[in-house]
Amino acid sequence: MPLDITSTKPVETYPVPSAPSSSDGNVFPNTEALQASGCFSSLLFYDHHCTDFCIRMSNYFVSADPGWYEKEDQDTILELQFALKGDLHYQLQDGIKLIMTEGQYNMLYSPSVRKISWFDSSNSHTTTLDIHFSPSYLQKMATDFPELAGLLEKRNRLLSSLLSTSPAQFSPDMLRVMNAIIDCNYTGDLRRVYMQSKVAELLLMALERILHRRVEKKKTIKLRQYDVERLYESREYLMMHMENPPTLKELAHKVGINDFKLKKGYKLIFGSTIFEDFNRARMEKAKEYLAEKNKSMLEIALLTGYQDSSNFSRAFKGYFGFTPGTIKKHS
Amino acid sequence: MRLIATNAGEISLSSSLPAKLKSLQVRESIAYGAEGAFGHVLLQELEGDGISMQYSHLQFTENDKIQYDLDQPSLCLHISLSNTFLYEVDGLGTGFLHERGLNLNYVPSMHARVKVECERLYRHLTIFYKPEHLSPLQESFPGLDLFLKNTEAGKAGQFNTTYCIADHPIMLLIDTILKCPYTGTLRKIYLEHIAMDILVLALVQIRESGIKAITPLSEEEIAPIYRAKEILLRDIEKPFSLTDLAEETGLSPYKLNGGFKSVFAMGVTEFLLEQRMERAHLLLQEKDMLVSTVAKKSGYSHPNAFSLAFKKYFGYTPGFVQKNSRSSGNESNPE
Repeated sequence: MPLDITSTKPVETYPVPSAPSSSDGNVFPNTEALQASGCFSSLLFYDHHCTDFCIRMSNYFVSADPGWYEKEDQDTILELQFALKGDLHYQLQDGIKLIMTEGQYNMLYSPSVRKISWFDSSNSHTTTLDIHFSPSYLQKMATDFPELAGLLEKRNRLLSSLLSTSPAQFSPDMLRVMNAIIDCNYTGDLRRVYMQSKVAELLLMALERILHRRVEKKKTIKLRQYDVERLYESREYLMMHMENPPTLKELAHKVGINDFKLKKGYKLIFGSTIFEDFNRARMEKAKEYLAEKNKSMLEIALLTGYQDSSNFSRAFKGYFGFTPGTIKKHS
Repeated sequence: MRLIATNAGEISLSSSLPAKLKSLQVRESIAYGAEGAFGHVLLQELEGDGISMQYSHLQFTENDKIQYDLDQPSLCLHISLSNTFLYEVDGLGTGFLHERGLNLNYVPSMHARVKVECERLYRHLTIFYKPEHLSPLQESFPGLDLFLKNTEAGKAGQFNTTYCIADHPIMLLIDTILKCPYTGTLRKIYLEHIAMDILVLALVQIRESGIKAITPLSEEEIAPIYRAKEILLRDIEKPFSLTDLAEETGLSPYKLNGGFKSVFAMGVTEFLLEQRMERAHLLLQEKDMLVSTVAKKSGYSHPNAFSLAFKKYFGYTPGFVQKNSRSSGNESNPE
């Protein structure tokens, strides 16, 4: 696979490191290994070609200064990518940014590979498992996953795109399958047959998880009109009783809804938890009071539901990043 | 659908299951069952894409012999999931399959008799393949070409000539099948791929058993091993002692360990670790389960020791399972 790596930094020539032995844990057995090295230290690629897909495990060891590194090759990418170790930041064509932290994955398409990646000390050793697919292979699954059909449609128009706007966390079961793929020491036909089913399993699990996760969360609770009214009421009650906030149970009792529904339903309707919402409101209120200048710190603390001013100050600083004293001084 | 038992007589199976059997039903399976004075029977068909499976439960109140007939060519992998099946199959002869034992064979039509001992629960999985699933693998497994030729000619035969054991990865895959959360066409595709994985792993096991043969335990020898397993699982939370377990089962520690090796392909401590770890993995997926609680429930008094052992076994931490398992309470079990 042709692969060029360039960087904005001057490139020095490093001796190409010899292929690591199997004992260091980075080797993908029975595969073709590609290596490159430069000022960014070394990259190790392990390739495995099957008819419908190509599996690549990449290890990036970056020892140079933090910065953007550009990577190019002639193939287009249509891949499922897993961040096994370290974080990934890159920019694809059309300004699409991709950020994945360790343990996340996504599927992406880009018409030509011109990936600009960010590396710094936090991701000096990054390992990814990439599975590149042929479009016809993915097309078979597209009927079950409309979002995948969308990605393939964008591909027809040569538009870079991500399967999901935010990456998903891979599950332990998926990691088990990935490890089975990585550790597989079969050869020949046996390897081909085994890889075919393992990759198909991983793809299904990955699609199912990344595309259905939102639906799943919503499924957990059903709200009737009555409940919705109670939730609005609970919010109102909370804002009115800021100086003496009720506990979750008390609040639930007050408005006549069970506390589980209150907690889950609140998040669903208002998009944040009760505490987040309440905290935001009382911090804004505190800021107002501070600007008015006619109240002492203790008064404000009590009015916003704190027992004393030191707890209040700490919470205030935690929320705004500066102490209440700073406002008092400046306004 | 019906079964004929020598003592219990004819048992007619119905698709409307009694409550007790319903709880054993696998998602989207076509199930036939019966419950009565004789005990209970549950046969479930699982449809993959081109591969089908049969998962069966049997429990009888008296010793019995059950006749099973299926008038269609069957190229199957048989795996015993619990207990020892003593069978007699037309064209293949008699044999037995202990728990985790596996056979790969072909019969032009299946006529089998299975012996069951009273009050014991028998579970069994049969995966029905087609010759085209096996033919791409001919070059990797000596003798497979001949087996497929015989199959094509309609000649009954067994591929494995020695006793074979389903190892841990195979058992995990079977677990995946039985707990598969997917539905519809996805489920079919998924099940087919898992079934292919199992086939590959089973063929590798068969090939290896030809190199390093396992002597299976006799019917008498197996009983104390099952008993030891029961005790082991019952006391999984307690500290383990091989000598105590040996004493309770009336075997020497050496015999006990050897027995485990020939049934489960691993020694007692290794088996215990596997069970503890799998149990911990499951518990961690439950909601609001503390790592320290999971540690205790899987036999570790110190959470740190547990976390280390877990990481060593799975390659990831208990925290990773807690954070990323999707079973937020409404998943996995259909019931």
